[in-house]
Amino acid sequence: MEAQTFELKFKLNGKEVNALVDTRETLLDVIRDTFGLTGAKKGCDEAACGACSVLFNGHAVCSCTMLAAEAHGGSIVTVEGLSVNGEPASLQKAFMESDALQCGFCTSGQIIAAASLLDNADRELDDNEIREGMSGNVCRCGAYNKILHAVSETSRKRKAK
Amino acid sequence: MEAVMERQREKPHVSEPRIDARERAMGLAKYTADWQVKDMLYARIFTSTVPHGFVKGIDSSEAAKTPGFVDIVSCLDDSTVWQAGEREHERRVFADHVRFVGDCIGAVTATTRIAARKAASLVGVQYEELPASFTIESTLGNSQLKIWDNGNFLGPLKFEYGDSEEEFSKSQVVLERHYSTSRLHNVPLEPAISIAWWDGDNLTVVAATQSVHGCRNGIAKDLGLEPEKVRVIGYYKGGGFGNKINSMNYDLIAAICSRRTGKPVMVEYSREDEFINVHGRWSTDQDLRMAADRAGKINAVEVKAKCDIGAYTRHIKRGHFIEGPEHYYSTEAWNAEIYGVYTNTPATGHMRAPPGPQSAFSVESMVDELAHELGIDPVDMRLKNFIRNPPSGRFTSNGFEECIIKGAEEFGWKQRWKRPEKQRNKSGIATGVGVAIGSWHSGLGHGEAIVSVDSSGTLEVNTGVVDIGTGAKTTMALIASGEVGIPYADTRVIWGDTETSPYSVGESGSRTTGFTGTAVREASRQLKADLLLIGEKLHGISSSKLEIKEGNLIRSGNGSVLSSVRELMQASGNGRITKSVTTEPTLKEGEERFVFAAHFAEVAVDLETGEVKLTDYLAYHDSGEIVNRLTAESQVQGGIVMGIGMALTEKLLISKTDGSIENPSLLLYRIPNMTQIPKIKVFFTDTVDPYGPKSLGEIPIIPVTAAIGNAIFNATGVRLRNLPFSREELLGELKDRK
Repeated sequence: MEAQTFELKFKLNGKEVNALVDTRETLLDVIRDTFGLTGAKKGCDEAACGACSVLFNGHAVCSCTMLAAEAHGGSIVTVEGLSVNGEPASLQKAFMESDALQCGFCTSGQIIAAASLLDNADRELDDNEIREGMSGNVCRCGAYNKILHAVSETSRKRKAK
Repeated sequence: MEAVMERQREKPHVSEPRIDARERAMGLAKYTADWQVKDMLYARIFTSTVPHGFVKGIDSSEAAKTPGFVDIVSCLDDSTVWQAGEREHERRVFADHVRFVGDCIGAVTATTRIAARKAASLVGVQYEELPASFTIESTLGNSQLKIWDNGNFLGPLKFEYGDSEEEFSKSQVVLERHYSTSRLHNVPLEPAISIAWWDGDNLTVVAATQSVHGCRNGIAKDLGLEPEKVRVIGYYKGGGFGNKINSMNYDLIAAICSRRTGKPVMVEYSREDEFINVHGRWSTDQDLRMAADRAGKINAVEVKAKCDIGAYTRHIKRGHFIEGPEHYYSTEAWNAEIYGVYTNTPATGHMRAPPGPQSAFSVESMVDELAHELGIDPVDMRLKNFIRNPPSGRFTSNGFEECIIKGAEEFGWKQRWKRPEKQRNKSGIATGVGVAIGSWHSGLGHGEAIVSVDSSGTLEVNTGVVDIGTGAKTTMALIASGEVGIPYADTRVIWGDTETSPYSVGESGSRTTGFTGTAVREASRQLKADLLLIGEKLHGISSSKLEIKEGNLIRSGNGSVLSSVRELMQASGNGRITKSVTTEPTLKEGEERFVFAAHFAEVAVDLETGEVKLTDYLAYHDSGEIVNRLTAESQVQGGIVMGIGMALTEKLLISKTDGSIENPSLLLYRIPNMTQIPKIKVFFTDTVDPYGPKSLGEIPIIPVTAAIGNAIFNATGVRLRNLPFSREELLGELKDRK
């Protein structure tokens, strides 16, 4: 199989970007290697762990099983794109304060999954809805209780506004 | 309980977020795979397709045609021995004598990871095949088999205490049962990875290791270098739980490929490689006998175990694959006979409390069976028998009783536990509760630390910890901050680099706080003493009447602020005051240092489908003084989550035809997700140990499987003795009963 290239254009964390990519390259590899955004991680390379989660047009997807070319014309937000003026967003602060992370390797994906869940909810989520919504993101350190707490607190605060 | 009440805490509880929570939550923490090194090449391993044999030839002609191909190295041209890879035998980095499907034979280096993967898949290997074994029974029954020239098993390791035969013959109740536990995998979310480059004779490795110093020393030994010639950097890593201990073969492969190509090389394992090529937990087959009198006093325990340890084992103590009940219960006698049996299957080694949960599963299930047999409440059964002091001497501290009593109180055990036949069964769902206890060692040893304060009053703690996710950096900062009296917010940490930081044992064996933390504490005390002397000179008040709190020098008694630490530093004329300390705490004759826990679980069993759902969980731990409640609670919850996986879903499936792993994927090897985890309440005793905080990282996984199994029994009356608990077995038993 010979390498074929593709002129990829998409919005990355709010900025229009383009790059010449190998058509076989995954979105995850392109985000990490070409654009140097290493927040999203490769944990399994088969969409079974969620560590590579990014927002694609506002919804969490596993970037390890999506070809970079599929993002053409779309909008991608990585964990780096959530912060506000270099400061952590409220959801990220909730993760920090609740200790919703241990080794931190799954954390970017957890936060993206939570952002997707919260952004697309029209009301405060209960614990079981959060559990279901976050079930595609595994944490081997077992921070689940604290992740649940961080997401639930953020959901409550958002709806209280 | 009085002894417990007397030992009142002196200091308030500390509960602080991680010192690096911001970096980790913002995607800024740089893990090994996140390093972008100029001109870096990618290496990919190729491995054995046969379970046992000699490599007779390697054909790299097709691989070499791949665009981007740079180099191939194999067992035919490199015989480096990975000394840490197998304790009893010689394990080569590239095996010429392959012992399992997936044994590493060589590596291909290429300009891109796609090219490396492609080229590695095109390498052809010729073998002379040998007889192979994939089970304990076939290894022990096959005289033709030679996995290792000097024998196919380790052991028996024998422990003996008291007169077991005498105790068994005179006891009123004797139970005999068989228990088994499965092969498991650590599954750190970050798969194995290493980057290496050379500058002349100097080697730099960016490693995903649990100990930068252990990694450096291992690499230096295997490559014949002075340790000073090797620099290991490891700032952030994605978990390990024992399978990133010290130097790994992939660190050596990166170094070897880099030396050959003259370029930096990254060795990256796929998730499948990680499952197959990095060790997990061994399985156990255990026959237990337990003897007790009618009142519930356990008189003797006998354990006979055979463990499938794969083709290689990294386990540290020879044959120590099972822990006895000697640190749970005071029995008159106990004895154990333990074999580690080699098979032509992937390697085994450290995984969170290596032999701990396998042993607690059998012992704690059996104590529950005994309690049921005798009609005794399972908590009372434990209170009658838990260990107060070891046979050989005394524990430095022991909060076991408090864990059991207070844990039962907090859980509401007396209200919730009923005999199995009396538990409620509503609309096809049976609910039950279970208890299990456990203990684990809490070592002391060599620690080094450099603690300093600069002219701005910032406290700096420099240790060689790596913080694999345990919170070690935070713990070290809090120890120093608390001892010196400078706020945590003004404390920074230097870590994770053998070039900049003094030796640390790293994060394995629950040792960092006990070993390195002790040095941090001592250095901090010395630093504080210096600051007080500066204060004495400056203010003309004896240092014995001065204290430092919240970054200020204050007068003892009235608490008035005399000056800030910053002002003290400026008055002293020092740019920085540094204390570099080595500590070597040792126990007194007859002392043993242990941590203890009692766990309580509630399950809901669907009698139609056999599904077991955890509905409540409570853990009560004695780990001595807790440096940081927030991260300690997280660590306990994490161990319990891993234990829930061991109880309900996790099992490496080993092929009966070639010993390969049939489920090397996160889709097929199921670790728990958030839907399977109940609220986990965590409590700590206020036990004060004379040697400082005790260990914590490993003990939380130990009692979990038995607590759950005992709860399933309490809910259904069915006793499951094989891990992970199987729905089929449960449903079969329930059917037989109808």
